[in-house]
Amino acid sequence: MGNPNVGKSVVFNRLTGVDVICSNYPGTTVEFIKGSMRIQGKHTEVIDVPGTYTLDPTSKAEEVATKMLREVDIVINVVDATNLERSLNLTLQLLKRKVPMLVALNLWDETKHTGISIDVKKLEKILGVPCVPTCAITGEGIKELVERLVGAVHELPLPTYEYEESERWHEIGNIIAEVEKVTHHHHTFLEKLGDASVLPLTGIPIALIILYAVFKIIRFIGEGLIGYVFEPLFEKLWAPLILKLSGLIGSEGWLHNILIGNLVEGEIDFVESLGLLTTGLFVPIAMVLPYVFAFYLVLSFLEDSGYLPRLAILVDTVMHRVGLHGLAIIPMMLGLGCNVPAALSTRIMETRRERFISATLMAIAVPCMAQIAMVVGLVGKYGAKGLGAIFGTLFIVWVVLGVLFNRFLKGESPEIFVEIPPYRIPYLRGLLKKVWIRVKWFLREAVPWVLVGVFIVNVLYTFHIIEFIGKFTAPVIIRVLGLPLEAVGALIIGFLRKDVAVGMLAPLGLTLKQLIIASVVLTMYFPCVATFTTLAKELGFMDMLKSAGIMIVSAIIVGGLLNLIL
Amino acid sequence: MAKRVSLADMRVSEVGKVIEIQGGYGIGRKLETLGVRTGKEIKKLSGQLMRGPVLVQVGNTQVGIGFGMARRIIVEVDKNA
Repeated sequence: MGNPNVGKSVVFNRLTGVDVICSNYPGTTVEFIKGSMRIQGKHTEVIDVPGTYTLDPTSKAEEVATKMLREVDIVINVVDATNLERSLNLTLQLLKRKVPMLVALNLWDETKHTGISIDVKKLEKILGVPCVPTCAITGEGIKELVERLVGAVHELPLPTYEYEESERWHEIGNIIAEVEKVTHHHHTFLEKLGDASVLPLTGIPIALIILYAVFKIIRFIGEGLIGYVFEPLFEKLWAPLILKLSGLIGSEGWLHNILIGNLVEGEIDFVESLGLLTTGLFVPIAMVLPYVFAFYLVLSFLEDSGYLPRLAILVDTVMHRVGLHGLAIIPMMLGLGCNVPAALSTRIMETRRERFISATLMAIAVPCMAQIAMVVGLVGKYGAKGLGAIFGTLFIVWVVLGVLFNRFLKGESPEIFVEIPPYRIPYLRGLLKKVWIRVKWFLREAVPWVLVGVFIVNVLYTFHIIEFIGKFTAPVIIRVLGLPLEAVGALIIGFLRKDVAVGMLAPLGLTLKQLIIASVVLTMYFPCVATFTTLAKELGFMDMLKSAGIMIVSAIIVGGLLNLIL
Repeated sequence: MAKRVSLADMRVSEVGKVIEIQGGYGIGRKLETLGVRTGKEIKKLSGQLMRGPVLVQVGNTQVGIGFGMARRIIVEVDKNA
């Protein structure tokens, strides 16, 4: 365990080989992650703990970290070597609990160019526990840490360090005076950039430029991969194979319908055929994956650079209008990738009220990359008229609902109080690994659901269930939203996967107006099943019901308004 | 003569020493976890428009502090600096 943003997850990753997401902002890890390593042939459990500044818990994440202490044999206290004072505060509190402990002085490489030198031997003597300098991201010092850990398993004396609670800061001051020397250093380019990006005058333009660049890069990579790699692959290699298979099965029948779907003029239409081997694979791999990859590449870069907490400072004032504070930008950004990790990340907010507001706003108005990719595929040809209307509406919904929440939900929103980490140049291998973890997660979690979705669509059509449900919902779908009855199929599948649902709109021949309404309603009316279960766990059952009620009602209202206005 | 101002009223790039944190036990506890406590040297790096958060440097750490909280941190600014 240790302070937030000192690299606990990186150390954990090095020790166990378990892939966990690590970033350069406090609060990346919000849950316990268990892994294991072998120490002299013995299976040993290692736990990655969310960061905490103190054992005197101020937020929920810190509370769980404290609870964990009672159940472990040895604590590896990961310490930010460039911030010794703050780290020692926690270290001394840990020593008082008399838990056997090792100290990893992480970010050791950064002490050099910040002009800090620490006498490790002396520190070890004062604290009475092993101290090892490490640079977890490159793996330096990890070997020694493991060696000391092995030694510690056999015999590690309980800490004997004693101090008076009221004198804690004084003690810390004394220790630092003994072991640390700071020499002056010149401002580096990154530090100057750091200052410029949080001054209002330069910070806001910089934020806008970054935002614009982010969109450009994601589109460039996403479109490039689709146009030059995935589409040719499916059209040139996969389509002929499937056509042959189609002939073998006999071009019709239920098996043909489920595997390949309807041929459009004897050819496969990967979006409209709706078979498991056609649309079921094409949608997640050739339409969604490229954008998911591009998004996570850019997001991971932003995360590792340390820009996100600075963005949080810049948007703080705006966020207070919707009952949140600046840090809520993090769940919103993560939500653009996938709503599930975003729902988890709402834990960085301090109060229940903030968690409810941020989770609900995120689930209603932030479409995930899978859905965005499909909407772009479907509506992109209309340009800003289509996409602008859809995303503009969602943004307005976000603001209006947020202001309403802020007014009608009891309680205040606490103020932002966050450490701003230094800018760091992302470590390429770490970055790529993180993108890979996320893409792998997408493939494992999303593709099966897409296949299930496509399968269910076929079942629903075969047994005429969609028409049946359509009759009940006709007043809302046709009168209020102005959509054709068949759109109900998409709304049903939207519970499973929003990307498949958007894809189902393609063969309906909708007008631009109907496409806009359907896309907005599909985003808002309900979260997909994966997000729903995560939200239910995070918010509790009653709050989830409240949140879901708000979603359905506001989706119908907004859809109905769009139908009247457009 | 040194002047006493709250962190919120301090000017950007001014340096001073924290002399008082107004308010209860809770706020002091919260602030000290990131190194903001009485006696510490503090530098204001930026303040956002419309009562936005204040960014300060304490030791080797940069901390973003909400405006309301910043108003309760009293700093003695060194005029000569």
